[in-house]
Parts: sequence; structure tokens; C-alpha cells
Amino acid sequence: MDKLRALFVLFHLVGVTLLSLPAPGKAQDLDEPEVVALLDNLRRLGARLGVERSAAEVKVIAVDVSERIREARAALLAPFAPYARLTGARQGWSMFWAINHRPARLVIELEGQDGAWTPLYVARSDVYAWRRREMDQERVRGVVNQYSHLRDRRSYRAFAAFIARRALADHPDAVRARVLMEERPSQPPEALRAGKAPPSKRRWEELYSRETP
Amino acid sequence: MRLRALAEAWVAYWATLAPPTPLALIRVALAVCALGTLAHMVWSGVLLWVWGDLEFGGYRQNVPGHWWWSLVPYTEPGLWGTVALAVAAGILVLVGLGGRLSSLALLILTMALTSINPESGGGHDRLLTNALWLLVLSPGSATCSLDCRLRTGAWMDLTPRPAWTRDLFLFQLVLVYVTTGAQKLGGADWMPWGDFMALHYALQLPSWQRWDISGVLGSVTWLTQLATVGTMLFELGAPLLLLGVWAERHAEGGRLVRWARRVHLRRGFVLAAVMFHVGIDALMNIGPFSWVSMAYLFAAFEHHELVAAWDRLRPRRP
Repeated sequence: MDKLRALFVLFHLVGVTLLSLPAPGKAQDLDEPEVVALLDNLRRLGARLGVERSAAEVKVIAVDVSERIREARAALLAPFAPYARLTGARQGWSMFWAINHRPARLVIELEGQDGAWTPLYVARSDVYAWRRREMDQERVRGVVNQYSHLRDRRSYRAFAAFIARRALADHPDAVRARVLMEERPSQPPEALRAGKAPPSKRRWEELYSRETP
Repeated sequence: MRLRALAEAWVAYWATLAPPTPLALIRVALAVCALGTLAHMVWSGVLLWVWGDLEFGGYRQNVPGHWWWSLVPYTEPGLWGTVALAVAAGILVLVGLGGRLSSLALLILTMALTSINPESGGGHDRLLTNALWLLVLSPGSATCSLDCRLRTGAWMDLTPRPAWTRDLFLFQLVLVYVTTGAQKLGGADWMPWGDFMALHYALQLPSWQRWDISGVLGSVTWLTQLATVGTMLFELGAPLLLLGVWAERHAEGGRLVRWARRVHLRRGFVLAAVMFHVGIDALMNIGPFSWVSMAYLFAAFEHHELVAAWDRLRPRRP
């Protein structure tokens, strides 16, 4: 029994350690701003060490290296993946490694009978705080977070339609609802001290009327 | 011969027995986290939003991947039934009734529910299921439980039991810290060439900020820079927790072990971990991640230390 336990512990420790090794991104992930910045840092570091490469060359190398690592990783993890899947011992802890400098926040607006649009909800606003209890819940934040990176437009459309239906149901006088992600760059300290609101861009606007299916 | 000796030492190490009080406290803390996360979803009214299907209150069509949903129909009654069972299992784990079976039930039901919509989950779900699996392997309800009361007539049973999962809890926590710290080495904001501005920018992320503190954030740059460096040192230095625990458990040891004991490395690290998690939770809303992480920390202590701490904390009668 003691030997079996010791063997199991060895299997578990090796398994969770290997599973926690991060998977390198796919080719499309290399266009993410955080990854572009990382590759640029590496390119400049290489240049300082006397290895000159263009940004395009660095990207080709990165794609090649990440594909090889992904294949090796998959082969290495093969014996442990079913164990993790069955027991809930899945790993993956890439928390806040790259900070999004241009986060987008969820905004919901309603059109009144007079044709004027007014904000109903702005994420984390104390003024436009419709259904705050629901919208502030951590799992809803998790859902919206991917849209904050402007990722997964299909899921966003489903969420936007869902939330617009509820907004219109709660406000019978409203004619239409508009759901969008307002992209606003995070501010450096001096800009925050100056108290100037950064310019924002309205992205992923979706319009819904009561007839929208 | 050397390999054989190593293997024997390995087998002997994992056969260590100890009173299961730390595991019982982990059990209680995890049950509170699991029940708390479900209760918060119900109270907030978002359970159907995120786990329901388009057909019954959800925002998208879900195809839950867990085998549970091949036995139970993924319908509104099926979902609520699964939530009710998870709450029941959570209560059983909390009071320590049903031993490892209750923990296994809570694990399976938590995995089934969090598999419905992975978009709405995150590290806290993984950390919780990892812990629940280790709880299944632990004698966590052998003391401070109804099982103990029914078996022995007392609430506490200090009979030494297999204590190997304590180290697996600690290893898992250290693995989380180290791998997340190592990945941050690739993020410029965490490094000197990014002026250690990671937390300054992280605290502006609308998805996770608990409060809008942009009014003061511009004036406390040195503090956020210090916290950024502190976070990196804490996460990458997490293996020190294992050294600290080893040093407290073993009277013998070399210079390093003696140093770890002298500087109270284990207690120092646990204190830093508590400050780290309370700080995160005060400023950011990232779900129960901090609370589940702190539940793991009970594994760093022995029964007699926890009893002494309890004696110091509880109000004295005049």
C-alpha cells in the first residue's frame, strides 16, 4: 500500500507540474498587442546581443518555435491529460501576465420615444448601474472580460442580444437598445493626475428593437 | 543502491501519519467556498444567465462537456436539481458527514456545473476542483465532523492518519504561484523595463476592478510599483513555503533548514500569502480565488499549532 501510494504521488506531482507548463500561442495569437510587444522586446534584446532580425522574421521564428513546443507539450501531457480531466486536476495559471492597456467596457444605451439615446449601463459606473447586482457578479464579469479584449464576437452577439432583450423588457417606454464595447486606453499616472478622460472608441455596436428575434 | 535508498526514503516520506486537523479545516474552508460561490450566483440572479441554455434563461446555447450531463438532462429542472445536489453535497462536506464520498460528490457536481459555460469560469474553478480532488484522497472528515461524532462520540479524534495530501495541497499552491510568476516574466509591465507598472494598469481593468480608484491611482505610483515587485517576489519565491514547512517538521537539517527555522520562514510566508490574497480581494473582484487559495494554507500547520492558535483566538471566560 505504501509503495502504491508513493507511486501515485509521483504520478500526480509529475502530471500537475507538466500540465501547468503554459501552452504557447497559435499563429493568430501572435497578433495580440501584448504578444507583439513581447516579440519586439525579444527582437531588441537580440539586436543588443548582435543578432539582427526584422519583426517579420521574429514572427516566423516565433510561429515555428511555438508549433514545435505545442507538439512536444501534447506528447508529454498525453498520459496525464485523462487523469486531470477525470479528477478536476486541470492546471493553467496565466493570471494577469499581460495587462490589456486598451480594455473595453460594456455599455448599454436605450432610445426613448423622442429618438434620444441615454446610457442605461456603463460597466463599473455608479451612475449608469442598471441590474448592477447581476452585472457585477464575478461570472458575468468573466463572460464580459473576453469582450473587453475584443475577442469572440459570436459569443458577444449572443450576450448582447440577451442583455438588450432584458433592458427593453425592464423599460417598456424604450424603443431600441444599443449594446457596445467602449474601448478606452488605461492612463499613465500623469494623465490620471491631470484628470483628463482619455479618448474612447465605440466598438462592436449592436442595435436591437423589440422585433429583433 | 543509492537509487534504491532514495526510493525507500520516498515511500517512507509519503507514509507519514499525523492528526488530521489541518485537513479537516481545509475541508470546512473549501465547503464554505463552494457553497458561497453557488449562493452568490443564486442571490445575484445570474445562475440561469451563465449556466442556463438559450432555451431556459441563458444567453447562449451550451453543450456541457461533463459526463454528468449524459445521465441528467440539461434542462432547467436538470440544472436546478444539479445545483440542489451540489448544495447538499457542500453541506455534507461542511459538517463532515459521508466521508470521502461527500467530497467526491461535491467534486463531480462542481465539475459538471462549471463545464456548462467555460467562458464564465476561471482559475478559481480549477483551484477549487484541484482542492476537492485532494480532499477526496484525504481523511478530512476523520475529525471535527459529524462522522467523528457518530464514530467516537466526540467531535475530535486525534488518531494519527495518513498525512500525505497535506504536502500535495502545498505543492499545488506553490505550483500556481510559481507558474503564474514565471509567465509574468514575459509581460513587460511586470519588469524593470516596463517600470513595474503592472498593478497600476491592472487596477484600471473594468472587468476586474472592485472600485474605480483612478482618482488616487495617479498619486500612489510608488505603492503600485512596490506591490508589483512584491507580487513577483512572492510568486517566484513560493518554493520557500515548502522549505519553511520542511524546516518546521524536521528537527535535523543543514544550514539552510536551520536558517529557515530561525527566521520563521513558514509563518512569514503564510502571513505574506494572507496579505497578498486579502489585498487582491479588497481591490479586485476575481471570484473566490483568494479564499480558495487561503484554504490551502491550513496544510502548512500541525494539529498542535492550530489548537494553540484557536486557544489564543477564542474569547476567554472571566
